[in-house]
Amino acid sequence: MKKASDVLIGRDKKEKRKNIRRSYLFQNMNKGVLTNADMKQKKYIVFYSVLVLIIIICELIVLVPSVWMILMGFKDSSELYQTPVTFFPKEINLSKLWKLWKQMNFIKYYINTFIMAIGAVAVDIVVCGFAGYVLSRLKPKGSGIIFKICFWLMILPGTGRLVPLYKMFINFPIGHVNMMNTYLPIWIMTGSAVFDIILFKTTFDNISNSLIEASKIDGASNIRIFFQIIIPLGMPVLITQGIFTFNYQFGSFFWPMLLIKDQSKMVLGLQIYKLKDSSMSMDFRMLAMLFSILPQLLVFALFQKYIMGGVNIGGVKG
Amino acid sequence: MKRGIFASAVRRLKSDSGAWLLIIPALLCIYFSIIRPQLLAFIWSFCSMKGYTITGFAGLDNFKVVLTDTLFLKTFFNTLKYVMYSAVIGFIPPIIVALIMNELIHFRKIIRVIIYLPSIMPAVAVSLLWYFMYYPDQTGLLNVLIIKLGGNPYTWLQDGRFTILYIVVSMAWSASGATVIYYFSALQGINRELYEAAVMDGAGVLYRLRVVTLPYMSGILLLFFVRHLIGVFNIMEQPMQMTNGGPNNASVTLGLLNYRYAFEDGHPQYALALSVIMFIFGLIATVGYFRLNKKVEENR
Repeated sequence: MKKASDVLIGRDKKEKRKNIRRSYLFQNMNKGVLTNADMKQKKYIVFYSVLVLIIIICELIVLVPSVWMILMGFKDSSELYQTPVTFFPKEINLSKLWKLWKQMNFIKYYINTFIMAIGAVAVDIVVCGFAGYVLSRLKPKGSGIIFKICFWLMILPGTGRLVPLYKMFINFPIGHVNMMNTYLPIWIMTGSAVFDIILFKTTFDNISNSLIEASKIDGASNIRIFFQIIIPLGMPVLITQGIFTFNYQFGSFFWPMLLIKDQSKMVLGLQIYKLKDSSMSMDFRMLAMLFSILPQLLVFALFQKYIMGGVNIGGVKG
Repeated sequence: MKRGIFASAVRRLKSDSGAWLLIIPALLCIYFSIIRPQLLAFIWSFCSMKGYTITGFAGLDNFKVVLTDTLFLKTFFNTLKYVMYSAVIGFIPPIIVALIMNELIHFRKIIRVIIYLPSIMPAVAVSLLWYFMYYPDQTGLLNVLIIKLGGNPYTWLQDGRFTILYIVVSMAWSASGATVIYYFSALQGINRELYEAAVMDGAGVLYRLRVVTLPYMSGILLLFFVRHLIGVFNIMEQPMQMTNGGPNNASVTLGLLNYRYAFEDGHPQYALALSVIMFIFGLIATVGYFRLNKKVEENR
């Protein structure tokens, strides 16, 4: 009877249905190189499926290590060394997290690291933001040269400055302050993030001039214009770059290693590094690493919209 | 007449003073953390030092010591290996992934979120995670997979022939996500009408990529490529965290050697000389970038 129905519906109709399904599946190919017209051809549908397959493999490469870390953490120490080897733990015991939290005194490291990272974000937004604003809008005489210099400095590597910087931080030229065991060096170095200055400048360039002109006529000061117009309109980029700074500093390791010797000022990145040679069992080490990404995960979940919008620096020019 | 110019300059400075006030914090930061240390590094590299204090002029002695160090050549070639490996493993995949993500219309959001996830992990955590994945006994993930497939555990990072490759893979894993997002948002900025015009002319997919996408992306790609090369040429943290240069100095980089001179052996003057040598390579790459960039801009 099936054949009869085929005949009844007819080849044409079947084909039409297939096309409708296809056009539903590929409703708006209006983002990339492929267009709606392409998707009517069979070879492009195969091509599309290959692309999907590649992406799935990439996602797996990204996901598997992270998931494995969490699963390892919840395994029992004896379970780690048994044969045959297993991937999933027998049971997930959340009380382990609490035990580790207390044992490693994470709260102290969290607070210290937060102070360091939030300070860096504030410096990044205010200092680099002001600089971007001046280069983009106020343009005093000579700002063109400053922008050019920034562009050069952005590409220069930082390794060469290690020793002079270290020497400067233990004996700062102004007032001979010793910055050891403070977070000031981190903040000063954040203020010199030339990449961010350039990024902010190009972002502010795209803000329409009429609003600024209007508030200038109303007699608003530069600082007021910055906080009331520039910051709200440049928000997506400011937030994204602020989060990048936060994430980077939350795990920063090298300068704290050189400069922070006081245990009460210790930050998370260093503590995580110490896990490598610690006597802790493997499962606890994995869980400890999980603690080093929880705040970033939280921030990411909250501001995901902004980060994924992305920062278009395609228009950056020297 | 002269006084007129002077007065107008003063007036100009006065009217600009608000602007200068706002940019001064950034300029101070840049001066103290980039320009001043860079200049001092140049000067001090010609001095002899004891601890961190300067004791006198040494001419080119520091450079001689560094260049004749038995480790120098090995480290230099190691570093080139890092650069070459990561030009392939670290630079190309993000481009491909961003291009594909730009095409896909299904599950766009979740794909992007997952791709970005490794980027929120601190570099230390990534190094450690991969160190544990490469663990030579059966607790390492990669060995778990090998055992499941019926093989014998492999020593991974302890295998000096490929240590650099393995470190580069972990670096690529952690850095690619953010790069993909940058490329992706640049790709989204391409004007659709250009593609449609190309389709009208009967251009295939590859031709469209070459005529529309490539010229648009070449600027940002070049910038990221040069930054990538220079960044990898200077790496220090990842080898330090994963192998500390081992096994048998198979994965030491110039950056790590620099760190050892400065903070472990107590010879900061050699570190400075080495950093000047590295700086010259960086400078060559930078000049190369600006040359190429000019060409790219002309072609646009």
